[in-house]
Amino acid sequence: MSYKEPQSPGRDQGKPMSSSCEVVFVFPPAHGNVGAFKNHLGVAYLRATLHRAGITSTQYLNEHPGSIASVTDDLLSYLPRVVGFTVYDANFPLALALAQAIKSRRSDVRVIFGGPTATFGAEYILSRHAAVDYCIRGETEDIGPGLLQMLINGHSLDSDLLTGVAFRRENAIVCPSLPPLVGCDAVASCGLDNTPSPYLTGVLTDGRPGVLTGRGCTYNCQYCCFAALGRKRLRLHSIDRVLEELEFIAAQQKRTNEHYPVSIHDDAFTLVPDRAKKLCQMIADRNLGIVLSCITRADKVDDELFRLMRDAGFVSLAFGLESSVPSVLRATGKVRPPDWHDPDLGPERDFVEQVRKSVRSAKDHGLNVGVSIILGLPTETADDGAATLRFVRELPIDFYMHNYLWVFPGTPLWDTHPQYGLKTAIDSLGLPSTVEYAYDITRLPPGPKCSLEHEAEFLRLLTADVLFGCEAFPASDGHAATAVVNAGELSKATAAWLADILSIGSLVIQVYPSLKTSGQADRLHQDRIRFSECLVPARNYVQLLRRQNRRFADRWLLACAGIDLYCSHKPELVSIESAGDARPLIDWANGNSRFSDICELSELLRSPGVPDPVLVSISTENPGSRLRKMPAPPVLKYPGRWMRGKAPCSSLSRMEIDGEGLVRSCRHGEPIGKAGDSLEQLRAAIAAATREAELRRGCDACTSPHCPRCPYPGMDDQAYCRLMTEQKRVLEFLNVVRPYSRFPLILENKHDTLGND
Amino acid sequence: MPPKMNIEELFRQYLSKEDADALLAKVDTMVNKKKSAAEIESVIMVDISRQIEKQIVKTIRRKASEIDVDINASIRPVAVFHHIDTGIRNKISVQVKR
Repeated sequence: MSYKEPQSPGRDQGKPMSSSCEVVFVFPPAHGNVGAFKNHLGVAYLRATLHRAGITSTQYLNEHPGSIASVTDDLLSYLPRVVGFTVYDANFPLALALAQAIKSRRSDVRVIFGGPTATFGAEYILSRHAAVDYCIRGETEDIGPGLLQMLINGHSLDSDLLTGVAFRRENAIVCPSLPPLVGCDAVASCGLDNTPSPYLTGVLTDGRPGVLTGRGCTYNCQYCCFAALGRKRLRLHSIDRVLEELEFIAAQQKRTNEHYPVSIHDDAFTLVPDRAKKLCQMIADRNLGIVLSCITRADKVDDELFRLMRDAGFVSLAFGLESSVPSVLRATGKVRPPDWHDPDLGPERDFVEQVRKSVRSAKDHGLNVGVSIILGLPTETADDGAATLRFVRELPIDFYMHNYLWVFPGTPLWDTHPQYGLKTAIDSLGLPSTVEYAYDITRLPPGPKCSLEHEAEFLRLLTADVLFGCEAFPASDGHAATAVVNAGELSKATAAWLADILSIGSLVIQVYPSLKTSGQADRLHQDRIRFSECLVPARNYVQLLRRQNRRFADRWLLACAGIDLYCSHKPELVSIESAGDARPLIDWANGNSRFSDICELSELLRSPGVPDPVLVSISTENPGSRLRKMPAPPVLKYPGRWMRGKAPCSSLSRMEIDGEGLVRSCRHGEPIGKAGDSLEQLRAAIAAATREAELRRGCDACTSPHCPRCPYPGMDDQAYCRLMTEQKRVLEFLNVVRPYSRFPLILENKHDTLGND
Repeated sequence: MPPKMNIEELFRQYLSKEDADALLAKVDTMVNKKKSAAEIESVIMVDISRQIEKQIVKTIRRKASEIDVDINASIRPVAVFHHIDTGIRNKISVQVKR
């Protein structure tokens, strides 16, 4: 079997743009993502269908998008008639922010939302957000071309006769039924083949979005919105079609020398084990040389399948365990429906044993294996949850995913959840949340190998670096990438301003003064709501809580959605300690254990005893050889004051905002403006402050080659100039030490970035 | 808590001994040449990215030999993949030849 290089039906590589395109699709990055706009496999299927219908479309791709305004510029430069967003709960705020920005500038552009959130939350979205014209529900390959052609021709979709399109009519939302499932009308078992391939039509030019060998799942998991989308109907591609797509991807990888794993996005890849075996065997026979991964059910695999999967190129797979308690599995519908006629839980007990057996067998075949669990499931007690965690602890897994139940509209559980002590709410954005469980699920500590631990560690290192740094990490291409808010409350004005100026994928850190324990949780919650409602396009919103000071250090606890559980269960993982003096550095240099990982050097540098002989010896006696045998040095507060080169605050990639809305470049800087000012105004102000300091200090006549001319060094001009001209050995030492202090963050950042790609 | 392990051990958590040593030797050279901290960091950021990718490929090679699969591995010039031991999040860059 071979493939032909297809003609691309639309631009989909790199940034736009010079020529127009009437239909532009956008898949905004979700919270926790570094901010890149990428392809989406579901949209690619739709685009392939549009291509066949003669409708040209494009997918907006951008690795470094900048602010909402700059992405809006990009999108409108296509002169589109329709902009379609792929929307999940996690990327909804950013999709909405872009929709509003588009509408504010071009009200004639039709904005449509599609995807799971738009399918089941159409009423909530349309009733709240005028910027969204339509929600397209369910699978769109069959209805998409007709609907989009109508929009391109200038017609509206406000018609009861159209299935799958939710719209506003006067004060009501019309939300018609879901369109028919794609691929259900064919008699053959490979009904999905009627939909054109995104790869073989040239819509996708590389395999990073993954492939589908089938859609849907026949099981009854009460919480699963994807099962609700697929209405328990399994539809398949033919094996030939799947092979053809994989051959295309393999050829692309060889041609470009770009090798990456290919995800099989089926709800459960091995749902029909014999078909999965046949497919794996044929992939192996063709020697495609690509690496594959999938999610599947532990009761739909066996030794032979593991062997074939390994031969086909699979290196990792994950099983959905959800719970190890048979009665909970029954109530959840994981194995048998909750209302199954036979009350005997034998099938559920067998399933749990099958998970144990499959994990071991997969490991024996050299595969990396993980499981996912969900706490808070119907009928689950605290003891049940603890039993599941104990079960996971005993498995020889490589990782596990620690999830809390989230009840989604459209699922069976949405209708039945009150009977299980679960409470849900729809927030002001129109998103569902589960606000109460039958027991306190947060009391259960995560076990070892929890996939959240790396995220917590990375956020701790990043927060410490940004909190006491002079610039964003990593370098931000001139965008405003980090903001530190020093206030007891996140004001609406500040949040709205941050939404305007920050780049997509930025980081916001809020440092609270001491909060009363009684109102603390509520304060954090309210600020998170405000942050979300103002649509700030940050990857993370980190909240720092001051804790009781140790003798020589300030201490903060880091709270952030997704890793909050570590605040109570493993606080050392999310704690930041900062010394007010150089003692941690001295302790480190002398080989002593230190009480803090952040230090302040101003006093040391001004003291008569400097240079400290130990410090200087480190930087003069083959420093690299010595430093590599030592632990990472403590983080230096605001190191841009002492380092060579231009003061890094001049780019204003990082800024601080106080409770009155005054903006500074660093904690001891003078205000350079206020929340609401443009970045240009603020950058002009910091440039002026720097120039003023230079004139005041007589820098033009100074010959010191190392001074960064920091405008706000936290000491008077005389002391700063003396330090920068007389303490060359210490400055050299700091220049040497600085990169070593950042190595833990640099290494963990690569971990994080690579893992999230 | 401040990390207890030394820099070499830290690098070896992410990289092979040879790669870690090579990278740290490069840092030594830059330090001795009195390069600025910013220069050192930017060079190391790129190098670490590449070395981690290389490490992933090596890990896959080792695992592949354990399961008797011949690997022809190569690395993309831009970082996009992840350590092998986190399962479904892996972004692994190899060609497998059986």
